[in-house]
Amino acid sequence: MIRQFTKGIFQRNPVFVLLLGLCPTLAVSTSVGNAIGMGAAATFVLVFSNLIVSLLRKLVPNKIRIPCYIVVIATFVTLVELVLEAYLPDLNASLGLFVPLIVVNCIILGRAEAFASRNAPLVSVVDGLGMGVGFTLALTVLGTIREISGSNTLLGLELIPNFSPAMIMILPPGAFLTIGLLLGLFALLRSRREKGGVSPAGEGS
Amino acid sequence: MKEGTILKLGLTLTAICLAAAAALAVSYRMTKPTIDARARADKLEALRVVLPAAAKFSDRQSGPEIDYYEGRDGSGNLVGYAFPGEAKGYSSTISVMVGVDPEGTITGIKILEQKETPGLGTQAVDVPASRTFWEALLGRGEKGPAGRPPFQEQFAGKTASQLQVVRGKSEDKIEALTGATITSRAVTDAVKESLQTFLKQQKRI
Amino acid sequence: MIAELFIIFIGVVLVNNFVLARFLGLCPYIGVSRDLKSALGMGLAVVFVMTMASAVTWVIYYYLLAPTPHNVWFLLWGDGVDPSAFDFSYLRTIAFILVIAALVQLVEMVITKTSPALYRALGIYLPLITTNCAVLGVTVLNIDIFFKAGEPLAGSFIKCLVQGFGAGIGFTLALVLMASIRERLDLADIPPALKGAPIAFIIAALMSMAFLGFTGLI
Repeated sequence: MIRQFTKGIFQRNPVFVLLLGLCPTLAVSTSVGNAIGMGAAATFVLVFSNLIVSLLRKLVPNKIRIPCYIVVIATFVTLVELVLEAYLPDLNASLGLFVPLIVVNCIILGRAEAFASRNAPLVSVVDGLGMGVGFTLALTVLGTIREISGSNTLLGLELIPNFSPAMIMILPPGAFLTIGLLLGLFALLRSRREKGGVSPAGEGS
Repeated sequence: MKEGTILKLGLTLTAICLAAAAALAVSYRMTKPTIDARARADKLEALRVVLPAAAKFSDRQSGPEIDYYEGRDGSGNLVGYAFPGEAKGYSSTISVMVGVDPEGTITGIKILEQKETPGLGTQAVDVPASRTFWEALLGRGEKGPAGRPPFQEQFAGKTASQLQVVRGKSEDKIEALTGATITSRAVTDAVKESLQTFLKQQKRI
Repeated sequence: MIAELFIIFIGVVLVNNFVLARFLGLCPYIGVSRDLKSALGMGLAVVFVMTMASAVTWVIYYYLLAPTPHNVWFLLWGDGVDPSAFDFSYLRTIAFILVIAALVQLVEMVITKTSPALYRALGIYLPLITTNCAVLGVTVLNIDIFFKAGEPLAGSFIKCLVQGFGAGIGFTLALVLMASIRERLDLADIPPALKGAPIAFIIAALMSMAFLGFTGLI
């Protein structure tokens, strides 16, 4: 059970290893605060959609399983939208378009299809939690790097007085550059550890 | 495919959709009062910020060109008007609330909505933190009350003819945000246009 | 009007390119950009679905979800009450994603029946489009930009179509550029650790920087 949880964080991290959920990862990682908010919202949807999909797995005919999963996921996403609008309007404004787009976050549909539809509810919830935490962690790493280098702040507080930061890092190019270099770094570490031949980073869709 | 199977597939999907819609309808009813109350509170807050001298505000008055609110002080004297304006920014439409005294001098503005580039255009609504990250970490420095965004504060005390964006320091014009000239110009245009429309309308009445 | 539409088109293709400036549709951007032919196939399928989805979601939002006097539910049952009682806009996300899924399914069926050649070219990319966030993204953006409090702005239907079409073209442009570069890159000598996805992202960073140059265009 514990391994089920940690696998989503490290060796099968959805962002850094499986290359899933890239759009929100790059778009909202301009600051640590946004990154954590997005991660929490996606984790919530992931855990509950995994739970419901797992409960429904014997009832839903195979042919229409994907539309059913999408309905379940979209329901929880709308719930998140409503709650954010009512209680956290500032976060809602800064995540903007990417709140409804949690629906098409490939991690969530991917876990519903690949894991929750074949496993018992409890394990599915743990799997969702692990993947969600892994996603949040990846977002936070990216958010930290970009906030420090791009706006010279951390959690909105200034780091070095009178220092002009590299603004490009909070713009789109900075996001692509950061994730490219991070993926390269991880590939390097992995090949070092394996000692054998160098394996290129995996590619997913 | 047999007819029975199609029927079963359709029924399952319909049942799931109905359950989802019901769940969402319930959560919508539960969050709606909070969302509405917040919208009302936000509007009042915006009016207070742009017309600090007023204690009471009228309902929205519809004019031939532009709708406006009247602000009166404690003893019922007219101290100014507030009205909305908008202009196209870099990546979104920026909407503002503008307050003027009866002579047509701006008493304050507030950006109500914007979805500009995080870290660049959004500086227009940023309030610099009063202490650095390290001070906060060590528990030193005062947290201080949340101030107003310096960019928006510039507008107070200006008249329509002074609404020009300049780069660098300026005493009587609007200083552009670093790296976000388009956003700065859009906010200024929104204020200027609505102010001119309002003043023209006042003259006619 | 024509000028306005042209600005929307240029804006969504170059200035706010969906992939390089808005981070939408990144999964296919990295996943399907290894050769030019499949990039072009994927791009065309997306253009097609985005344009259709923009039209269909406009109709759905206008007649079924928005709290306006045009709302069909209001026309049927709204005797003497305010149309805002029929505000179903909170169902936007769920309605749009279902519409897109159904649309993709329909397009697939029609293409299979009518043009096997087209199916061979686009067929395998169609199922991937349902979860392409650029498609849902453009439909949500359409509503955000061209509707105000449920009421459509002037010419909003045609503007939605142009924005949907343009977003697809912008996606195709980014995808085809990337695929052409990556085809050459196969022959280049790059550090082994950067092979595959990492170098693709670094190229995306450079392309994105180049696209920042279009900023002053509109």
